[in-house]
Amino acid sequence: MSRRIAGPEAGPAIASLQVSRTARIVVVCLAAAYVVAGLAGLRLDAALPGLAYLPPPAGFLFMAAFFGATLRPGVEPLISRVARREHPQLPTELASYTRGLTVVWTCAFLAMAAATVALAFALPFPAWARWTHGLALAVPTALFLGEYLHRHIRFSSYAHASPARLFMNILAVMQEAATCSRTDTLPMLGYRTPEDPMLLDAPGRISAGQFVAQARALAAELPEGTHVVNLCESRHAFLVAFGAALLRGRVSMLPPGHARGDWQRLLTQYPGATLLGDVVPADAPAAFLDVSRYLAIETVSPDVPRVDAAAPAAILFTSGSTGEPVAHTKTWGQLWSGAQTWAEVLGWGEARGIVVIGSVQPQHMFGLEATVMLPLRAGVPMHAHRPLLPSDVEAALASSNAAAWWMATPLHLRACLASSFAPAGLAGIVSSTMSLPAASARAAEERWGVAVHEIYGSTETGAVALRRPARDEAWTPLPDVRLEPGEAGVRVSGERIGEPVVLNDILEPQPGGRLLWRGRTSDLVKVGGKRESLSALDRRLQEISGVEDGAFFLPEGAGELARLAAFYVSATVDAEAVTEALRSQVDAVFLPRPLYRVAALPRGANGKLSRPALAALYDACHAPERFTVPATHPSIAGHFPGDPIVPGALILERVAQVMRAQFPGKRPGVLASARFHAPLRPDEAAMIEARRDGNRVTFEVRRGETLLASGIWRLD
Amino acid sequence: MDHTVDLELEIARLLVETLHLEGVAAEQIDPELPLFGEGLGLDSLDMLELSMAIEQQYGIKLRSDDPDNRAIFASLRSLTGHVQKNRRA
Repeated sequence: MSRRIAGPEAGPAIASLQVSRTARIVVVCLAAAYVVAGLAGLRLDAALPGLAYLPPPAGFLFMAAFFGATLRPGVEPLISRVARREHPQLPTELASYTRGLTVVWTCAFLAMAAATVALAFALPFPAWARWTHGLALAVPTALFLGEYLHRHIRFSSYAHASPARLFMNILAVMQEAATCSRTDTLPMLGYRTPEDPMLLDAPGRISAGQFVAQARALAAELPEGTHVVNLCESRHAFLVAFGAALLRGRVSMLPPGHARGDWQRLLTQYPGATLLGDVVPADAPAAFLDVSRYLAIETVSPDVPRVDAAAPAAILFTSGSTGEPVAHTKTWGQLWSGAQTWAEVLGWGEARGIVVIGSVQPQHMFGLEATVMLPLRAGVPMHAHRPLLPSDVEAALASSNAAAWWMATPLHLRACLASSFAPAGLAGIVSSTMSLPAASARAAEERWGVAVHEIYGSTETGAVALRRPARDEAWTPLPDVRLEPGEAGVRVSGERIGEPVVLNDILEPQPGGRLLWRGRTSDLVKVGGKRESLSALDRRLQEISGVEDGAFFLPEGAGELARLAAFYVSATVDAEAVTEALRSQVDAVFLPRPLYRVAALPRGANGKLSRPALAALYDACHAPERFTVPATHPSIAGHFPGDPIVPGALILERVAQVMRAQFPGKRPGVLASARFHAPLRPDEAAMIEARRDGNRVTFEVRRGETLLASGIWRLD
Repeated sequence: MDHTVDLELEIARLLVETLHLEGVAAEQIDPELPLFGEGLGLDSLDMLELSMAIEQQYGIKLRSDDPDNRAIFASLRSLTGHVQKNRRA
């Protein structure tokens, strides 16, 4: 950012170009006349003694100064600016290469100036003129072509502009440098004409030009400041607020939660920020501006505004490990080039006849990429709201007579699969934010006849890989990023990413550059000397047919001998079948003992499971197994006076409780055998372990290492 | 017996059960309190879950995105009214 703010960065030589238009035309005409006269062999030196030798070295020196001036500290080298037109986030290696190249060109012009001066002493004027013109043509051409080839070989992993496009970029940069205007801007939207439909609302549509007019109207009324908080619920209002912020060079903060606490915290952190929303909150603060007042403006702006590619455009938040949200800044260049990659990998081609329907909010990375940047960049109309329920999505599909792409989460898919969802006109689904079970993806593909894609990404990186879960387990990295799996996680690098990011995921390379997700580095557990990621185990459990939800849990303080516990939710499958299904999927040491069937998992609002919540669930399920009979228990008094012992019947009753908890749907039947090995005193903690083999349950009751009771109980 | 109150309690129970509202008793939910946002503090994922439960229980497909339908989710009472009307229709 600071480099960009350095702004008009022309050197003294360039500033001298700021002369009147007539003077420039005169200079160009004189130069042309000089070149023609020289090539024609005219003795200009007779007419203008001494002066006739001046123009070529002066021209070369001017060019050397033009290039050289951009090498000063704090200024972006001229050729870096050309490269930045293709690569808005210029990677470090390209930045240093283009700086070096600017040095080479500066030196070449200096050398040519020196050569023309030297030759003037050695040759008669006509020969000197021809040599000079030859040099002026041959040296830059050779340098340009040689470097062009060299660059293609050395930087084969980058996309290169075609020669014609490169030429246009050079002209544009030269012009910008000469007129001191900014070099690196990108369009704000990719629609072909201002009349193109951009936002589809049930009664009508908003064209791209109308949107620009609305964003401009809001931009004009934005109070001074550096940041805005975009709380808008509808996609239309969100875009108008986002667009207005871009037009005024404001950074849009996108809080994932819209509760009072979420934005109040931001207003404290960023004093002077403006709140932009389309639903006025109860007792709205002075900093609130209602975006909905700008959504009906019907004026059409004919032009497409441009946005500084390197300036921060949006700030997104992740929940940090301390609980304080962590801010992640995205530049317009990053968002724009990410959207281009999305369109490519989804195979949109010309992107005609497509509509985007988004059920996710744009205030998190997946929503911003899939439902805002992608349609904006591809020039594709989008549904103006956020259809949530299955019938909302049906209605949105019915109102758009084009091939609709639905951007959703596995939760939306699950709700639609559970209902009589009948999507007419659906062309594709993209899911993200949490893992999509392959079974859901297959069911959706079969039932609705569309491809279901899944995006792997993060707030830090945006999307980095794609797969079609119904067909592939492996992820295909997006073409503009490099994923390098390692011990600490996967290192994501690429021009769009900026500084490389390490994600806490374990990826396993597959043939063809694809990658298998093997869990998270942050939740690795060690059982029986083997390591595995809890989230990878969760995924296996959740993918068992009939299992609606599931999670593994490593109980506290069990040390090396720890076994994993697991919980699952299912209306149809019993624990035995789940264990059986897991057996073929995971190493035996990770099979859960115990496995609890529960009514629901304690998921938070965003669908996340916290360890404390699971620990509480574990304690609740686990409780029957650990028990202590207090000395005050009524059965103790007479059993036996002066030498209290917990009655065997009481212990067996606890065993029955454990069996009911562990094997739902079954009841303890015939007690085949029961032996008592040692007495259990009141207030002593005992623990029951029950193992099931068909309908036979073997149980053991222990106090620490001491076996108190054992036996066999049949299940009904 | 007032059927509306019965149904209201039934839906309140469904709400508590479906959304695992810990520490909330179905009988204690104020039927006029907003369900989403500042009232009971439910979010859009809760709305998704609730709509699934209502469809399963009463065979009614709910919508949320137009202004009329938003009114359905305004409170327990409005939701009950909608379910009652559409169940009998």
